[in-house]
Amino acid sequence: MRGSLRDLALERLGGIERAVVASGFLREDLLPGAAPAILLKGTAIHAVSRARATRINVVGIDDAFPDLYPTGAPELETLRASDPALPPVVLNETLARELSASPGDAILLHVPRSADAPPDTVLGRRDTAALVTTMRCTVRAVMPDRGPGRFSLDLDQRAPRDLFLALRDLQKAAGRAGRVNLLLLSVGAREDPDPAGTLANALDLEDLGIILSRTPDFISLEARQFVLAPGLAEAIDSAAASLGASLQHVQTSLAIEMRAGDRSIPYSTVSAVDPLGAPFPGLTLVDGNPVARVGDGEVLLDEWAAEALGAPTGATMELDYFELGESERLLTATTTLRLNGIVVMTGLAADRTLTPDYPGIRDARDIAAWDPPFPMNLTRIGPRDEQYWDRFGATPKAFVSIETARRLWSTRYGSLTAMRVAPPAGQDPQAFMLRLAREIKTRIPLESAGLRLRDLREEGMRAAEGTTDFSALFLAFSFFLIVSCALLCGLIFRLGVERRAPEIGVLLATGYPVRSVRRRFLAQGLALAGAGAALGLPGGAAYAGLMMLGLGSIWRGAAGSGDLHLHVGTASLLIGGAVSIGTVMIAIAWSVRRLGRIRVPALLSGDLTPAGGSRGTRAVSWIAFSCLGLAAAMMIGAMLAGTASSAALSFGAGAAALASALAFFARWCRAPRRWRAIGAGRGAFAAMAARNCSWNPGRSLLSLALIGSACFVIVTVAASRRDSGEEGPAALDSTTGGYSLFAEAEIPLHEDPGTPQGRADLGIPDPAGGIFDATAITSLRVVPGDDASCLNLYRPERPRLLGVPGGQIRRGGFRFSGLARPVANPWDLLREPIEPGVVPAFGDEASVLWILHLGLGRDLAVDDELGRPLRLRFVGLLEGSPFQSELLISEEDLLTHFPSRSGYAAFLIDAPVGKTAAVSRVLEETLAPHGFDATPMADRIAGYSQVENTYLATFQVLGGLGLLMGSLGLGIVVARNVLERRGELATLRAFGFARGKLARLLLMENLVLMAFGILAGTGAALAAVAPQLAVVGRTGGAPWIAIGLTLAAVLAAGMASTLVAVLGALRAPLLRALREER
Amino acid sequence: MAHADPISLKVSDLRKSHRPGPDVVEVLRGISFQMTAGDSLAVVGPSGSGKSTLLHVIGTLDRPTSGSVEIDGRIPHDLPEPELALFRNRRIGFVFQDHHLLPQYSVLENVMLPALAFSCGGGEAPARARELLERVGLGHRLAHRPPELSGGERQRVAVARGLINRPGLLLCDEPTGNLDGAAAEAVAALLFELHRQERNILIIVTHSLDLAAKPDRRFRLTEGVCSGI
Repeated sequence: MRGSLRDLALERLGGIERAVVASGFLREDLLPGAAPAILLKGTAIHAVSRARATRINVVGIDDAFPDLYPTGAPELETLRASDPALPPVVLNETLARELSASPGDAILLHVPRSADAPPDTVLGRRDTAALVTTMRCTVRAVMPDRGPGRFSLDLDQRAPRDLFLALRDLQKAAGRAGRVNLLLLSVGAREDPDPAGTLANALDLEDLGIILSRTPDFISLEARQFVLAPGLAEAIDSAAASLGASLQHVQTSLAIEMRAGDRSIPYSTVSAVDPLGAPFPGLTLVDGNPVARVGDGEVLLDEWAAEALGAPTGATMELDYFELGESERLLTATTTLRLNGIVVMTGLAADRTLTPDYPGIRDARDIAAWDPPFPMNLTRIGPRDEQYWDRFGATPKAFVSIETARRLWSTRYGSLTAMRVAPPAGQDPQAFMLRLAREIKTRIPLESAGLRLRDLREEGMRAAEGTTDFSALFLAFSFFLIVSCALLCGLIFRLGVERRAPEIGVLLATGYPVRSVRRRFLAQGLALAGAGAALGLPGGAAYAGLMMLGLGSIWRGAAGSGDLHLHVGTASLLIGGAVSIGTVMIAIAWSVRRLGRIRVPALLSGDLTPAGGSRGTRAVSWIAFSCLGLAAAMMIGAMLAGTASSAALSFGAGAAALASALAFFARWCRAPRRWRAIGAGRGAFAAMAARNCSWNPGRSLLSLALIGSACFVIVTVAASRRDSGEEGPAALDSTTGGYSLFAEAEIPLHEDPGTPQGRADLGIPDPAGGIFDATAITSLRVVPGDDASCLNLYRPERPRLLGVPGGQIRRGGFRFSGLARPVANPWDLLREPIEPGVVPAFGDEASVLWILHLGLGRDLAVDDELGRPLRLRFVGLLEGSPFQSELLISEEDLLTHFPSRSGYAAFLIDAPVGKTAAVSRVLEETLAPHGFDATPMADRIAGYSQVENTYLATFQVLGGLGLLMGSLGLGIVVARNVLERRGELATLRAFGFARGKLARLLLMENLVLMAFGILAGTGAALAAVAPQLAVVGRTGGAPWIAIGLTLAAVLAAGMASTLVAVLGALRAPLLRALREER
Repeated sequence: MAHADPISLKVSDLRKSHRPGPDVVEVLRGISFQMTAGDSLAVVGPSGSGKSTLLHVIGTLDRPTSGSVEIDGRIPHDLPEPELALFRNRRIGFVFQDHHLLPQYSVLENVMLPALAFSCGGGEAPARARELLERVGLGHRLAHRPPELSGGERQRVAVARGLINRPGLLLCDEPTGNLDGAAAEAVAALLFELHRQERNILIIVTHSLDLAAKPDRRFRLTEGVCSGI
């Protein structure tokens, strides 16, 4: 498995070693030698069939990309012949299959549109047209899912859906000419000892999102996204201080309206500048005095505004402004300020550059021509306002303190629109600007600028180690199979030793020490084991190959890929061979150990009958009761621990119970009371059968162990199967949380589809039936990351995160298998602070335990958006939930640590019964440009269950093989017993026991063994699964009827094979048997 | 003391041949004799003369090539297997040279075994087995296992087992062959004592001249042909 994952990782990378991944856009020629590309997640729709594919990799490439793959990519060469009107694209096989597209077909491609202002800000645009670019393309070629056809930055064994188009076409569509968000570094990059340093040197401030400009008095630094992120502001602060320069903070925002009395001014800009005064241009009051500072809660108006409002100094005025509410809703808020003075419209008061150049505003001829992202009432604008616009443009009309500005307009994106740095006196402004830029650059971590330098090859190799240690998993589930094989080996060898008892007797009688005889047998065993291992290793490899074939075909549900191939390593073979030989030698040593305890005359006569009936009974009793006690203790422990950490305890309980049952059988065989006389009557026959079973306890025990072990695996696995259809969608505390649909959007929504207004903004029609009246939609923010579910075989490096909004936390629901502490509403735990740098998180139990290998109360270390370490502590584990691919934290925590994640990309939908399909269809159709994809909750959970069940199916095969071994062992025991007992049977026949009667006797003997083995294995399995079933109260999901039928089939098959052996033996001539006995 | 059911045995022109290789080996060549309840017969002869084969054919463990064995006027070899088993169980008792005791069962249980083959006869089996074991002098060894007994004791158990169902015909194949003089004498004495008590037909195959001297009749088997009847 690891080998296949490594191969897949290397194949998708080709010659790519590292990549610079930007959340924004960089110069395409930033790093000489790097292949520039744009990688966007998008949605494609076939223009004719309307077949849709979401979550596709839209890759804009130039000529350098195919060269990264040694295999080349002739299909990508077709992109050279560009057609701007209908850009050509190349699809990989997977995407082409999903779209049913072939060369010549037209497809519509939706990709996210890049915007400077974050959509969830006042100046951000949030309508679909602003967020999504739609292109009509022509399929030029379809390339295989190999090499570049598997290109993806995601760690997933499943073939990606790749769509390639010419870089310039995608740049044009994205409005980012000459810019890329991905730089791919090939093999040569490996020789660079300091790739991060190389990248940092190549970057300029613009690449980091800072726009730098110079005036005669100062250098202005603004952010491309209009607000300087805190990290950038800190770096500028620090750099200016290090150069001894003066620094000024600027915040300019929009006031919807300023009112004083009955007068008002609409749509004005308001600035906060701190500090005021030299060396920067300052504000001057109308009385000629400079303004030293503006106090918190105070405002200064320019002359024009003061006149318009007719407000005297000292008057109180109101200011309406936009603020963001829950679900990114734009709300109008009002603050009251005291007019502290009027400034003349010179100097800073006449500085147009205080207001950033907002697109849609800066180029407008007049205010009426504004095209702002926020709602605007044009009727409020009068001739005076237009006159101001004509003379002063977007120059602020009012000034507040920086504290007031922060209080009103600060967002998680930052609180400053500009920073101004004045060089120390006497310094050359140009030279200072260069020094300042250098100093700032060194102080900005790449992550703060949305850049990541990823070592893709190393990531791939690391993740290829896999989430699931398949070696350990298969070894664990093969444990009983291995034990069965070892027991069978020991049994066969023991039978061989017994047959050669006279030979051993002769050797001992002629003076060979016991040790020497043992060595002789061990040497022979070693030779046999070596030969067996030599034959078995290719057999093992063939078996592993079959398993891989199964995982790639009939069990594809578990692996998710047909590209898994057998990788046989020398070390694996050597270890496997050594372990096999070692196991067999232990079994053989166990078989020959008792040679010294048998008397030589007995050996000479071929009689290996144990001398004493009660020898070792006490030890066996001790083992039996100890194991029983251990099983009970582990079961109780498992129940107390809850399902989250009870797996090992449960398995241990089952194993101990099985060991106890076997020991009790051994005890029964050895107990003196078994010599109680067989009475007359009907019970005599059964008593004879039981006596015969116990006569050779070693063999019977081995048969029992084989059958019992196989049944243990089969029943445990079968009882662990998940039935996703066990519950309806309505129950709040069900695994679906009462939701009927789980939806995802490739391009986040910035309107709430759960509200009528949000749906109206998104253009979602509500047909006459009013399907949305009773539909509740919970929107969640998403931090993209690796799939943390069992669907992904790679180890997730950065699991996908969902931000749970307050509404969902209050609503509660879903089923938990473990909580950090008992609480009425488990979701409240997501809001309980833990400690700095630690965030409470929920995860699905299966993902946390088996994929992340963590548990309740344990931490997962991740990096936040700025590359700082962050720990997610699991305070709750969900059971069988739809959240197996991601982890959940509160929306507040998500925005704190991942502030740039705007919009909602995951949705929990509670649609009325019977309207689920209609809701799903309307949302998918309307929001198709966003790549909106809704899945019934039951299907989503069933998808995960299917993987688990597929794994279980593979383990059932292992159990079946164990059963095969058990049956084979039983067959050998029966055949050997019948062979040995030919004389006995002949004697009984001589005394009038008919063949049929003897056959029934032998069948009853084996029925006793099989029934006990099945009961022991089943009982042990129930002991193993009982704690899990008891804790989660899930008993209906296990296919008990199927289990019962399987066990009945096991019994029937075992009895049938026994019957064949028995009838064969009884058909032998009676007299020959009597003579041979002699 | 209950006796065995009166019985008659008629062996007519009994022939048995084998084909172990390319040649046919005639083991029995036209043996004929009759016996009635209370009769005893010793069959002697060198090894390979067909003594045991004769015993096995009479005991229905083997089939004749030609000729017939009539027991109480019935030809058991004509019976189907289940009826033959019942017939053998009710009418015929065996004592083998190697006793063929089953090691997993106690002495008492070994003796009871033939009585357990058909449930209808099992009710009185324990009492009968105890009685027989008392009579063979092993009443104190009921719970012992065969490996814990001497050779003579084992053979006495085998004798008791042969008589458990009160067979009219008791067939003994070298019953003292593995025993020393004293033990052989004791087992022989026991056999004839029980034969007198049970009034059955007793046929003993033996090399022992001492034992062969005890029955009412004896004959010598040489190359499948009998003489001296």
